[in-house]
Amino acid sequence: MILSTVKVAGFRNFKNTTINFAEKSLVIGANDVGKTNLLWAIRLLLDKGLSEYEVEPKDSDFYAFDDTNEFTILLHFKEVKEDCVVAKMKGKISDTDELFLQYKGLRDAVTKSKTYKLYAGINTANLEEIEDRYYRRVLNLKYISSRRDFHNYINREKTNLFQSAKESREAAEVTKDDTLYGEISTNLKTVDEKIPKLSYIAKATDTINAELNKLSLHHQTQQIVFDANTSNVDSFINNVSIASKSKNKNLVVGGDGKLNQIFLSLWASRNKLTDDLEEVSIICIEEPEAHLHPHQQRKLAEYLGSTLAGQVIITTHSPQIACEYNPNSIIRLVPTDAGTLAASDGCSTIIDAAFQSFGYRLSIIPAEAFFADVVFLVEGPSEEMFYKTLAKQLDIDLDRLNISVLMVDGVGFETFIRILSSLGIKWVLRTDNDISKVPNMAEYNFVGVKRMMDFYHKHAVKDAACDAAIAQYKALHRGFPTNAPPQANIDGMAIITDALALQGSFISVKDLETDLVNSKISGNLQTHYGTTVPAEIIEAMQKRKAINMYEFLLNHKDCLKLLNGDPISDPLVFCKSYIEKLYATN
Amino acid sequence: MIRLFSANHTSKNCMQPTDQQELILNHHENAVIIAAPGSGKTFVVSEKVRAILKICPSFQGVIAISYTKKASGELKDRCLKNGLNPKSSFFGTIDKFYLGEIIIPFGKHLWQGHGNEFSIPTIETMDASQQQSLAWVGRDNPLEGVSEEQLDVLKSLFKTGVIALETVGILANYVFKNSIACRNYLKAKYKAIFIDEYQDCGANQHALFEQIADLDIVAVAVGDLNQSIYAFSGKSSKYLSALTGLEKFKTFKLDKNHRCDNSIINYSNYLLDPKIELIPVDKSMIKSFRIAGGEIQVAEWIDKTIPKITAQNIKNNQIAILTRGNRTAELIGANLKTSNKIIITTDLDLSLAIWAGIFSNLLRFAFDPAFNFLEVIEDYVSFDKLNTISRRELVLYRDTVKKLFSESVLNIVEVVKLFTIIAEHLAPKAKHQESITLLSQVLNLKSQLEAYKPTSEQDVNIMTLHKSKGLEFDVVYHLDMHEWVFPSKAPGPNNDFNNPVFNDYLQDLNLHYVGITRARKGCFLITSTQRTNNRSTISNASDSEFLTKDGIEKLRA
Repeated sequence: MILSTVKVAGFRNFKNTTINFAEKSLVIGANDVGKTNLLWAIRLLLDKGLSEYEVEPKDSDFYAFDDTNEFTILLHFKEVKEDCVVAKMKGKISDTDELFLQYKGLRDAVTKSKTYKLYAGINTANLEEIEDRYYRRVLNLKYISSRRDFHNYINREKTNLFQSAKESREAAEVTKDDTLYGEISTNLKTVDEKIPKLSYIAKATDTINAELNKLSLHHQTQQIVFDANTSNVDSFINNVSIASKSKNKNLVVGGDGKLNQIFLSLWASRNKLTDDLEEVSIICIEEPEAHLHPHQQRKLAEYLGSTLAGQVIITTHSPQIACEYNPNSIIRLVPTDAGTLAASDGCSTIIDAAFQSFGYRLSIIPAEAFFADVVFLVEGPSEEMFYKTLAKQLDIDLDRLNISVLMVDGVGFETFIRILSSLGIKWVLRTDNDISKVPNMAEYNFVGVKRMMDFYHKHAVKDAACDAAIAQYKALHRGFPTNAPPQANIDGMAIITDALALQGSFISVKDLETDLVNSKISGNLQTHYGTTVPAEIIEAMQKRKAINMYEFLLNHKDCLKLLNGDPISDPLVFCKSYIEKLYATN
Repeated sequence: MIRLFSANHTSKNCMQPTDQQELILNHHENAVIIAAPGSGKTFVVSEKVRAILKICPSFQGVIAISYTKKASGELKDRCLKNGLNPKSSFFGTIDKFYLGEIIIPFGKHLWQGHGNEFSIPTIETMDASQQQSLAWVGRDNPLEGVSEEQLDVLKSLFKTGVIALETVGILANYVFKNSIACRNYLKAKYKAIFIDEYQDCGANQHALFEQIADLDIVAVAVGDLNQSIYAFSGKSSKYLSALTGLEKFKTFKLDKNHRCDNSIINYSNYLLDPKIELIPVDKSMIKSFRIAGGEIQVAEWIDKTIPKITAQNIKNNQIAILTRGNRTAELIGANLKTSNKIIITTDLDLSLAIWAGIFSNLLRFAFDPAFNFLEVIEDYVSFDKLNTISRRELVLYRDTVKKLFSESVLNIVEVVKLFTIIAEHLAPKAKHQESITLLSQVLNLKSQLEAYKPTSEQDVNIMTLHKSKGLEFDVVYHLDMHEWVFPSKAPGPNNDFNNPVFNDYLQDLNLHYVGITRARKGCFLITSTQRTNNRSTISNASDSEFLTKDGIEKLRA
């Protein structure tokens, strides 16, 4: 069974949102975009731990921006074949093994009183009202919030842990334990007898007895004493508390990170699916990475992946989790004017295919891009270093603005663009203006511009002016006999590249090194490389690009301020104003 | 002769199964059990059910089909004794199973357009045009014989929320065949199906039973070919016979009668087959009497003989007076001075509507101190689901019911009002006007109302032979042993009284067999010189052919 789609309408951040889930889904998005609200919507219908009272709708549940007095949450399940669910949901599962559950929150427009109704059925046209969430015994969701109260959980789980351990004892162990239990019981009795003998315990009641005596002779025969309660051996034993042992010494159980790990591993092992499937559960964990070192985050991701069978939904802010967990779906929640939406409606073949093309090359650094609002794609490490330093020098605070600068070296622009588009993340790119021979033909073309036009054509949101410019001039990108194109072609390309720049695709005049040599920092470059001949500087820069760039920046980074207003800085400026516009409307 | 003692009685199957029973208990696949009267079939079936319930997961269970609601309740009690958890089992009649597990939940997949409120009328209570469209409905039309147009009639009725009771067999088979979801559901939930009284099975029940067996649900049919007595309502023993011939069913016999005295066993077997080997007996405990006069005199005679029986430590409620039809039963009941109860099934009991069920239970509760109010409501709502306010209200209702029924004159209007309120509380969506009408009917007829009072130890039981099926008593007075009546005869063609024709000899023989085998210790076959006929006049009577069949008199005392 799989929860395949959730449709939320009129509820909290969600005006009308469709979210598709897969077997292992990751939910990401900025804080306050509604991740927890989405989970709450699902929990209303599936969480066994929520009482009838807790699922009553509140005023804050109704979408605030419209005058709405109704909200619905629809869950669409597919492949519902498990016996326990089929047996329990008589008549509600279709011939094709599909099931729908719906929660409808209602508010009376006049009296403002609120209520809710529940429905179940084989499709949206056949939803029948049901009295209560009777199916939770066999179909439910198990939820761990990000605020995990470790100590409470351990105390509650203690009994269960002891019970399972007791049950898995061998006969010899049982006998040994019984004998030991007897000894403990006897010892406790001895202790109980000794405590009242402490003189200050015995004397503590002297005053009371003296006064009682004054009141009545009866009290002479009965003395008030402090006595140790004949201990209940079982509760004494159960009072053991969790401790951490290191070299046989007790320590306070670790910091939050360790507690988090213990909590999650305990929880995961307790909720492992047992063989006789009496229930089907969806596991939902918020921010499993809390307080953990990166390596441990990765390990945790791997652990959760292998221990938790069945459907899992995880919310996270961690690139480690994002790339290690290997989700076959990422649900990125995005705030828009029409409420929070899920990019590509959540998991979809688009995202899946995009991930496939990443293959083995997906790692932490690109994973960080999923959490950005704009990603600026550059060719390689030298460009990345350059632009990050430039941003600082121009007072463009990349982290504050949620902008990532990412090199596509070894992966290629196309792959990144595809994923970013599917996740609804704005991409900006800068590439070199290469001119090369067309294979198997006696002509050259502007290969850089061509690439950018392809990206625009395949993945960008279309703009009428840009479309027009490209349509008119694109023929000029090829058809010249040498790598020195005629002026007409150069002019034609300039018009196209100007139009594309307005959409976020930037191209160098020639290439980064040449453009820098021709910019206001040429003086600093001459100093650093010890020559005034541009061709020599360029050659030197292009030999071992990254390390040379690093060394130059190390010594001359301040000079980058001079590039304020230079076309080289345009991509960064574009990113900044895009973000500012995005958050101005919201 | 009235002195009775149980000569051959060893303890009736207490805990240890007999060899024959053991064989069945150890067989875990499809089975057909041919069970003679008193052979302990309920014990065997309930033990098999218990074995499954002990190990299946809580979302699964068994299907246990009985012929009547009463028999179903008794089987359920036997299966769940000592507090065994029924888990997700179904105990009920085949019609209830058709409706609740197949037609209503899955018919909606095939034919949209209706919610959960269905009425289940009998064709004769429907309006003229509906009756017209259902004229083709016989006693048990098999699905194959129903045409597309006829199915369309049923489909449109369904869409308006109406299901004619006589068509449930057809509909159940249709829905089962066409709904994959229905088959998935039954297979996921039920591990086994048990159907009792399979000798009185209809075409549709048989078809469904075989198809359920094909779902790999263990199928067990129990019956006795000699007790087939419902041919008049379209049932037949041919299906039970058919099962014994199928490869995927293993046939078992339970042929030892542990209930009856050996002389009664001999008599009942000889009746069906004069060549049967007889058990050696000292004394015959079965005797016939011819009473001078009609039903009134028969009643007087019974009144005289009962004290001699009860003097031998037999309680009144262990005595049964069995009649061929309701007419004799009512006449005897009216004239018998000994405290008695006529067992009848009211229309309210027969109705499958939810509200009718609630009203039946409330009536039973009203009269029976042993019947717990919880039993009334538990079928409809789980007690711990109710909040405190609801519980308080229900307690109030309970007390009001008791109060109304303790008054010397029953205030019928108040009772109907109260019961309706209670039903609205328990099952608001199943509101059903017809059930209220049936309730009023019962309340207004003393004889029907009496049916809900529990049988006390003081009451002798009076019932028809059909009603006695499955029951047992220490002593049976078997009445109506008159020619023309039993076995039923009609004059030949052209009113030829000299060449009469039997209406259904075999059915009547079986019915007689059923009547005799209800008796543990003693059986009296009663005939009389006069009888009240179907025109309500008194005429002369002669003895039934059954009394002299194949020289059977020699087996009587």
